[in-house]
Amino acid sequence: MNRVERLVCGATTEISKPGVNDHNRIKPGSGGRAVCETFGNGPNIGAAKTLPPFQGLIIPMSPTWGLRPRLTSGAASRLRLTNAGFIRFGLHLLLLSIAAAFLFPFVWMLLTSAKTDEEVAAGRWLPALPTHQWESPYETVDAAGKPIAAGVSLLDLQVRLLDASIISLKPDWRHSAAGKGNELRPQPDGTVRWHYRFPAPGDVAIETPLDLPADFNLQNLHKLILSIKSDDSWHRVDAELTVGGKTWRSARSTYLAQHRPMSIIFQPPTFEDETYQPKIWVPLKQRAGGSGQSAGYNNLASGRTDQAALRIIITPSSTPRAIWGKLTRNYIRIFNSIPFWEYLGNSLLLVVLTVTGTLFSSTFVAYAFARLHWPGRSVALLILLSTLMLPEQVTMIPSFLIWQKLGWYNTLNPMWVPTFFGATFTPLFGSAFFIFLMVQHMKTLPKELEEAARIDGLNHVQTWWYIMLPQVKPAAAAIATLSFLAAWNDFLRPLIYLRDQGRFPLSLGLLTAQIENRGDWTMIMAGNVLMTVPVIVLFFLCQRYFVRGMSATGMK
Amino acid sequence: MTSSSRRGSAGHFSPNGYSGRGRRAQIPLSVAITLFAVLILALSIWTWRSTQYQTPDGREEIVAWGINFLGPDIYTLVHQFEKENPQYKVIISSSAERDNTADNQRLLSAIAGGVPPDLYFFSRFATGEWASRGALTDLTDLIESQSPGDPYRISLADYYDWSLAEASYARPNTDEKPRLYGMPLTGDIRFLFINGEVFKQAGLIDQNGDPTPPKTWEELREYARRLTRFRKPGDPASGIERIGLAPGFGAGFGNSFLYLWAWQAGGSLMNEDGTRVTFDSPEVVRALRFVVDLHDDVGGATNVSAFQQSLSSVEMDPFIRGQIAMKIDNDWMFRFMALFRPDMDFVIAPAPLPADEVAKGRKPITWAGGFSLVIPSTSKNKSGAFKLMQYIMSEKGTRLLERGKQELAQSEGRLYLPEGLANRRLYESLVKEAIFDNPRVPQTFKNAYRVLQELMPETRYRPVTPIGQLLWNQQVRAFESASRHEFDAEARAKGMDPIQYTLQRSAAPAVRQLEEVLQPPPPRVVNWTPWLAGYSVLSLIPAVLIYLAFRLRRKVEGYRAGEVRAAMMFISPWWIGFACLIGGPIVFSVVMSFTRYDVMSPARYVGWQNYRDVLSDPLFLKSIGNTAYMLMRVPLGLVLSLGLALLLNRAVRGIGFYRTAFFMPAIVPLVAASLLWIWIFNPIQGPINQLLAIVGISGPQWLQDPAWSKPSLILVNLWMAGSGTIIWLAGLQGIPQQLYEAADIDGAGPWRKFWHVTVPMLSPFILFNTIIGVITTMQIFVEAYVMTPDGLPADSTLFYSYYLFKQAFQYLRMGPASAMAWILLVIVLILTAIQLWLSKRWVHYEQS
Repeated sequence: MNRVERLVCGATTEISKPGVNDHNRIKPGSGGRAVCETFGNGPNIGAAKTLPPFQGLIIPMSPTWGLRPRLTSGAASRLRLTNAGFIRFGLHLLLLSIAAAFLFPFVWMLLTSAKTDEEVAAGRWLPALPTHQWESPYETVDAAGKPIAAGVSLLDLQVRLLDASIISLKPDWRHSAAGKGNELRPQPDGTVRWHYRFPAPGDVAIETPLDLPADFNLQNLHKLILSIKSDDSWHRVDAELTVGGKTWRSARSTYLAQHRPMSIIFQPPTFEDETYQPKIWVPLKQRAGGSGQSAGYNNLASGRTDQAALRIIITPSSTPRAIWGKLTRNYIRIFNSIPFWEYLGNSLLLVVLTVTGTLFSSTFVAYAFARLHWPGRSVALLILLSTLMLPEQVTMIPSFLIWQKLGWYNTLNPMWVPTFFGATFTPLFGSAFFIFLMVQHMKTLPKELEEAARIDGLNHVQTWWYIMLPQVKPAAAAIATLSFLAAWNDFLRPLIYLRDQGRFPLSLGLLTAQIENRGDWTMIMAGNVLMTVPVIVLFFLCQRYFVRGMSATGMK
Repeated sequence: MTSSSRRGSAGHFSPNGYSGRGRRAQIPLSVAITLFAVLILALSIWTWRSTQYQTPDGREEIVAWGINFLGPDIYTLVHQFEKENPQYKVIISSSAERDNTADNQRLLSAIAGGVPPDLYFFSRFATGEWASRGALTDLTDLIESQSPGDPYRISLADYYDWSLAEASYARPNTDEKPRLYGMPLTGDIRFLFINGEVFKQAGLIDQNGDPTPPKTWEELREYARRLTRFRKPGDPASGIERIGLAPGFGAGFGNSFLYLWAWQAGGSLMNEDGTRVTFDSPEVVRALRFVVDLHDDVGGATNVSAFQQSLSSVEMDPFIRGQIAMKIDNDWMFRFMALFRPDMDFVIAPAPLPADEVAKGRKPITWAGGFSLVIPSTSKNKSGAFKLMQYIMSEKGTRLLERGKQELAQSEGRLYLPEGLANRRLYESLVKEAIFDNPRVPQTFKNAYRVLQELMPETRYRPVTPIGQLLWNQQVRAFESASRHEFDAEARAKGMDPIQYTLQRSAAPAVRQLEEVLQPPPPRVVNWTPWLAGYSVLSLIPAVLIYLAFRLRRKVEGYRAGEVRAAMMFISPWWIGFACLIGGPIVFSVVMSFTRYDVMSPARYVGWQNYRDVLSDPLFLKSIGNTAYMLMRVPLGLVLSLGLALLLNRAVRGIGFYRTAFFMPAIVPLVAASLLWIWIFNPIQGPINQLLAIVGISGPQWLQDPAWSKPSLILVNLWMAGSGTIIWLAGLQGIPQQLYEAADIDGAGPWRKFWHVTVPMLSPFILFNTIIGVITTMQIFVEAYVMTPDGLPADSTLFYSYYLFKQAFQYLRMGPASAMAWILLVIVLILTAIQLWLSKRWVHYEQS
């Protein structure tokens, strides 16, 4: 766990005595700043903290305070700062630190999305990176840095039936390959400690017969709940359930995360798969033919439905695998708690329609305002602009009535149809604004082309299509991006107009999940990342066009 | 106007060029039109199909909103229900509300549109508000007509009396018997949380070494003083390190409110029959005075708020962290304790009464909030909804739901602690199984649940009244203003007691509103037909005007018939959209601004009353002040982004990287950004304050401190304002180099060049951005909605649009809300006009 602290030292006196030891590097900054970078948490941290503590702050000093006289000759010759180079260096440093400040919230969002509850509660800055644990129990420190002994305990095993009745099982756990550090130790409180060691057989597994009632029918099985205390080893747990000669295996692995007790719910396909509820369970899938692995009790179980066995397998995670598991944990939680792809599909549909509609209405209508001469043009433009100034909340109810009367309640239509008519409301992202931008841009274009087109006998629609549109591409790109953002981000209108969760766009779906998991910051931040990444990727892809477009519209 | 756009257009055209161009880059128009038609057709078919309400299997639909708050197993429950009642199909929809009591826009729209849910998870507190407007179904008869043999029969005898009473409503000033409008589900009660460790350190223990809770107000105050620790001992001004008793409220700081203190003093905030707001009764005055004293003991409300819960958020409760020794909070608190410190040493006790009330033999008091299930009165499937309601309320249903919660908690590795239920019989048996008989539950929680169970029957509830929400907000205001001594000077000038004066002042809006409710409604009901007809005619007038102008001024202006006709066609999508989708709602809101309208009952004309009310409303002025403050973000954002652009314009390497870095914040969805910044501003866990703490500065409370909340929002905004950089860069690059060269020849320094070349050349950009910035600032909403809900703290983030939103959707007063919208329009128009007028002096347009 290397902590990297980046300090900016405030006092020049500190600069003249570089480095307490090799880990300490003091880099000459420019513009009179010096940057200390401290790696590792050796004694240097203490040393650094005795400095006037201005971590993270840049203390501007007069640029005429040259660093040269104070630097060792080697450093000076390497740098050889001319005045212009010096200024450029300072410029870069300034820009870099501002960029860092701008990007910091993103970093924090990513960091939080990789943490566990325990780490958030302990106020850790960086999520700890797990390493491969070849043995459990093992000595470690918890999120707050206190030494603890981590280990796996089996707490409880229950079966729930579809009629909501519960069967509490008294498992008789046995190790499939006991010895060499693999053992089960029953505790006085009824729990069982599970000691294991890698790399003995690859995986380690324990098995128990399940004492199911005589009239048990697999069709009635709702879920199997295993409560265990985890050891934060980020190994993977799988289950194999054998009933009546058939074997069901968990379709995804559960990581042994954190040190808390947790329960893993294993569930064969049920009606719940079709609902929109958070899928907190691990699905069980029937294995073709598969009775191969669970040798121990399989013979016992075969043929009779009232005899069953459960096998719990721990697959070791290598260090990269453990890290991957930790980094993806909160994202997987999000994916399981909302129908992500369905929401994404709705969002994309909405976005495509909105962008199409906006591009159509803004270019089409703007042509009349910018290029044609007709009575009332300036008054109409004023009316158009004045719609920017009314808050949309006040028209929420009447607009709703209109859409409802059209029979479009619970559809996406109220969100995108107005864009074709240039009639969305929000300022900045509303149609009126887009039309206005387009008008401004079209006004700057030379008239000769259209005049020539008219001589060639093109009508206005043809002129709009063949002459105008090719010229307004940059502005259209900017408008497309902005309307993409508007559609992607909107949650207030979907909230009002949509009834069925299956029609929610991602913005509303994620917000709903975030609201329902209030306080669960790790998951909320993972949701934020999922919401943000597509727009950032989009921006990267069309940055060139977008920047051109922004300049083309001129925003003036 | 920029060079790049010109460059882009040059050379596009050759005399026969469109077809050639069309081949290369453009789809022929006819194909485009066909595609467009196909798209429209496909979409209309899709829409038509998705609006067919009949389910294919012919089952009746029951639409239930918000019941997923009942835990993950609601889906299993609904599945069971559908199996037992095959004639029904249940549609569960998340209520998707930030806060069930204050965000009614979804329900209200659905009711207005005649498509309400059939079953709704409802904050019980609002029963009076909605039942008085006829929005809820009276359940009394449905319950009485249940057949005795029904296995899911609801037996009201199982329920705590207070929960039923809070779900019932009778019109004030009448002899009507209260009717039941909702079935109570949950009940969260308040009591005193005591940090065992702190008490033990202070020696406040009995002979067994257990903490001794205070028994009276006097003891409470004494303990609070003793347990408070200042940064410099004995010096409140140095700041509070640990507070003995959290005297206020808000997430993490407690949940007592003036209601509790008033009841403890033997009074109440409203009289029994709901006809009078009794903020002026001696008991309420005494209660508030006690609260103010509690604040003053620790250096006053400013000091407390400097320390305020905000010290940490709900997630990392200051009580859990030992920064609060005692607080009065509800049992939701258990959730956080289970999450973060299941092993905490704590004790709960009933909140104490004044010594003289104890001497009278009065028992401890608490109050409950909670949720109900209601059936909107316009529901299309009341019998199905009632069946589902019965099913959810039944023992079987409740147990199933609780089990779901238990599984969820345990799957996350958390302790399962059942929350209060309104069904007493079920609650007690659940607590017995999950807590008392469960060896895994720590003893502290077992003791806590014992106290809780004893206290439950002695519970009060907030008055059921049509003005419930306003009453709530006003008691919060009274609490805040009195403890901040906001009106002390004013009161003294009038020769009044400050506490009494504050109470009187806070009560005023509630008193006014209650009067309005108690009086018969204004006689004239709005008939919308003439308005509609008038509007239809009105929307044709522009066409007539344009035609007339064309005929009359044809010669002067040189209009051409073909061109005007084409213009009409090009303008038509917008005109249709405007007339139907914007103009219609606008006319509606104009009419609404002259009516009293709550969506559920017909609108009635009240003349200019709404405008008068709004203009005399102190909160209205406050919201204007708050919004005006936020205007600061316009010049700040301008300076920041322009500054960045100037730096970038020095043609540094890596400009692409910097540009992206500055622009990225602007494309983050506003909701996501707001959630992110709540987390960053978190006074304890947030990185900013953690950084400041390393330096030894105790960071501000950011969003929770009235002095910092607006600057915090501005900060978020500046973060997003980097996007402007791109525009400025484009502008800067469009400035002809010769101008700078000329300036050089004239001997101008960099500063002069900036002021005399750069700024004038950029001035059109600056004007445009300022105008748009002012407009968006005046409408600032989403940030406040997500980050500082309800204008907290102390109305410091109650912005204009947010107040408007509250009027409309929280107080259900569409009239004043519409009036506010029109006042806003006037304000924005004036501001824009001023800017345009001023711009003549400084904006420089190229003469091209």
